[in-house]
Amino acid sequence: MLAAIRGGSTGTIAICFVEWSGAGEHNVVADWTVIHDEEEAGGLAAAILAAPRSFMGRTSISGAIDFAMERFAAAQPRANRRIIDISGDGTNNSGRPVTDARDQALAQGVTINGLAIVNDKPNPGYAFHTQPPGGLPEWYRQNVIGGPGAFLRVVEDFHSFADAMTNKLVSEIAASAPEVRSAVGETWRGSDRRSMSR
Amino acid sequence: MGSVVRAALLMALAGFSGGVRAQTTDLLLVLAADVSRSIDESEFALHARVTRRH
Repeated sequence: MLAAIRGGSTGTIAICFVEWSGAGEHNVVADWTVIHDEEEAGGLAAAILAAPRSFMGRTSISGAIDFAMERFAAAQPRANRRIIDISGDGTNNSGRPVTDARDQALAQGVTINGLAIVNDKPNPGYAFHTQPPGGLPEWYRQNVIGGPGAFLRVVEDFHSFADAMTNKLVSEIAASAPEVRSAVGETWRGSDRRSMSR
Repeated sequence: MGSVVRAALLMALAGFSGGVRAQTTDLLLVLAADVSRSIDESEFALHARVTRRH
């Protein structure tokens, strides 16, 4: 990942880590941090590790997208590329329609990538939420991701989560979405998505 | 799930070294982690395992 960061024109990226749950439930765990060296990365990691879990409510992906857009507006670092990275294990069940939030973000040139975490355990009362018709990956593909170079990574085995996160971050930084099925699930190039033409 | 995302991010951040701050960057990246109630115990258990690996 370091090589990917250093491959850019400034050799830096800025990360903001947010936890979200239902509509109006958003918490900035670590605000914008410019990452290039070990000290900066360590500071961000420490802040993330030290923070308690923020919420345990419903799932408002639309709210998360809207909140991320607010964080972009508040950011002091500047960049030509802006990416929202949504990770989750369920569909939007709180707040406004996720496609409305997605389309507004895309219209402003933002890319939304997804990390769909497949939860196939019995989930009484929430089956449609975590296991929607067609599967959560397809739901994410149709409703969440979009924009230039957008891609979705699927984690079907939580044991592979760390590798999936690393690979996804490298892809985002290098602006080159993976094309092949990986050990952690399918990925799609953004060019395969209908939302690319939105 | 937030714990899992945190752990994975911590692992991904390992390996940075050397450099300077900059206010103009190549990318603004918001990492938005779901911490809704669909999290189960296995995800928390994974958090512990990933943290140990880190």
